[in-house]
Amino acid sequence: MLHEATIEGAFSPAGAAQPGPSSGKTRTSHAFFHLALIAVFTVIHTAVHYAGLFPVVGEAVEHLPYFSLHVLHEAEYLGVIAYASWVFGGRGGAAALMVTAVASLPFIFASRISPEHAEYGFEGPGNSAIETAALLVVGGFIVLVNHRWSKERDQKELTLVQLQSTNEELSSTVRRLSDMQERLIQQERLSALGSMASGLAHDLRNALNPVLGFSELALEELSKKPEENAEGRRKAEQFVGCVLKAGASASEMLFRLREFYKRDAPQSSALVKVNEVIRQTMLMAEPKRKSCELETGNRLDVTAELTPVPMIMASAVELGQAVTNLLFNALDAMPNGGTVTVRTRYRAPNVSVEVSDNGIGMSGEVLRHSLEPFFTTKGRNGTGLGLSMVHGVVRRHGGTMSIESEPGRGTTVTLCFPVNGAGPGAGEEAMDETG
Amino acid sequence: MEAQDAVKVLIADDEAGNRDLLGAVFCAPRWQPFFACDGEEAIELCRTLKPAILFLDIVMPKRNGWEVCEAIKSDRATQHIKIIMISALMQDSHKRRAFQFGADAYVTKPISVGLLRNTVQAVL
Repeated sequence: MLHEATIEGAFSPAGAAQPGPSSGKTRTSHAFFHLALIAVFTVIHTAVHYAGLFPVVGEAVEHLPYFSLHVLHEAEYLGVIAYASWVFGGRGGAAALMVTAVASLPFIFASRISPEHAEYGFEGPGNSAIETAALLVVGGFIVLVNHRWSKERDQKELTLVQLQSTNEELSSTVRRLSDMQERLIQQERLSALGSMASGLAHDLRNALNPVLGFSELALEELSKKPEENAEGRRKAEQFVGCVLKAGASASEMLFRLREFYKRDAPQSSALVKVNEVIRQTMLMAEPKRKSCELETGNRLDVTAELTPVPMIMASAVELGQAVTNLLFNALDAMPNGGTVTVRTRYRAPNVSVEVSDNGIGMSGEVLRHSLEPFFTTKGRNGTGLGLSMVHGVVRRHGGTMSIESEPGRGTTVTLCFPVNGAGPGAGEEAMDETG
Repeated sequence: MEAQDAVKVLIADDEAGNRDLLGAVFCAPRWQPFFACDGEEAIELCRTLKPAILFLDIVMPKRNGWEVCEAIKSDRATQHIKIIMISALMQDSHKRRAFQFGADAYVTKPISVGLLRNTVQAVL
C-alpha cells in the first residue's frame, strides 16, 4: 500500500506544466535552463519598457498588439516572477522581483524627466510609479504564495523519501522474518523426526527381517544339489519374490518419512478430504507411538472417531503437519500410558478436528503460555514451536484453535476450519494480532 | 505317521512379512506352523493348540510380547511351551525383561536363519 504513493499524485496542481526541481545532477542542468529562460524574458520586457523612451522605436512598434495591450506586458512581467519563484522557490521569485523592479527604476525616473518620451502606449509618469508599485505588490504576493507552495512541496518530497526508505526496510525485515519462520518450521519437523528415532530404527529392523531372511532361504535352496531338491529352484524363486515384496513395503514406509524432512513447495490450497489426511497422519505417527510406548513401558493407543465431514479449502500438507504435532504432544503427555483420540465433526459452518488425550494435562499457567513460540515444558527436548506452528496453520486457514486441559485428566485441542474458507492466505490479516 | 511327527509351532507377529518368513523356515514336513497376529490371539492359540514352541514378537497390538510371555509361563497348562522372543528391540533392558518373564531365548531381528535354527535345537 505504501508503495503506491507517487510523487506526481502527492502535491502538484492538476496539469502543472513544470514538476518540482529534480535531485542530483539534473538539478544543475535544469537550473541553468530555467535561469536562462528567466533572464531572456526579463531582458525582453525590460527592453520593451525602455523602448518606449525612444520615439523612433516607439512609433515603429506602437501598432503591434503587444504594445497596445498593456495587459500583455504586465502579464509577462508577473509571469516571469511567478515562474522564477515556482522553480527557485521564494528566494528565486523575490530575486526576480527585485531585479525587474530595479531595472524599471531608471525608466520611472526617465519618464519623470521627459514625459513626452514616455508617451507611446504608456500612461504618464505618476501612473508609471503607481503601476510599478502595484506590480510590485502583486508580484510580491505571488512570490509569497509560491514560497509557501515550494516549502510544502519540499516537505512532502522529504517525507516521501523517508517513507520509501522505511518501507524498504520493512519489506526486507518481513522477508527475513518469513525466511526465519520457514527455517524454524523445518527445525521443528526435524526435531519431531529425532524424537521418533528409536521407533524408526525398530521399524527398519523389522522391515529388513523378511528381506534378509528370505534371501538366506533362497540361497540355501539354490546351493542344494538339484537331484536332492527337485522343487529347489521353484522355491528359491518364491523366496526371492517375498524379498521383493518386503523390500517394497519397507521402501514405502521410508517414503512416508519424507513428509518430515523434505522442503515444502509453497503451500498450495485445494479441496481436502479431512478424514483422509487424518488417517494418513495417524499412520505416520505410528513410529512415534511405538517409540513412546517402549520408552515408558506403558501401552499407548491412538484411536479415531471420524464422522463424515465436507471437504475444506486447505493445504493438506499443513493440515497434516498440524495434526501430527498435536498427536506427538499427546503421546509425550502420557508417561503412564493412555489413549489419544482424534475426532472429526461437522459443526456448520466449520469442520472441527479434535485431538484428545488422558495424560498429564496442563496447569492454567502453562496453558496461558502454550501458544508462545519457544515455550516448552519438555526441557531440552522441546523446541517450543509446535503449538505456535499449529496456531499459525489454523490462522492462515481462517480458522480457530482452542485448548482445554486439566492437570492429571488430560488435554483436548480443537481446530476449527471454515468450510467455505478461501484456504491458506485468507487469514493473513489476522496474523497481526499476536506474534 | 509323518504328520504326527510334525512339531507344532506358533508364530506370533503383527507383520505379515515376518510371519511368512518364519512359516517358510519352519515348514512341513518337519514342522506345522500356526499364526497369530496379536498378543491376545497368541495367548488364545497357545491354550488351544499347545504348540511346542512359541516364536514371539514383542511390539504387537492388544498385548505386547512381554505380557504374553508372562501369561503363558504363569499358566500351568501352557508353562511347558518354549518361548523364543524374536524382536527388533535390541536394548539390554528389553532382553532382560523378556528373560524376567520367563522367555527361553531371545533373537534379534533381522534374524539369521541359521542362528535361529540352532537356537531352536538348543531349546528343544
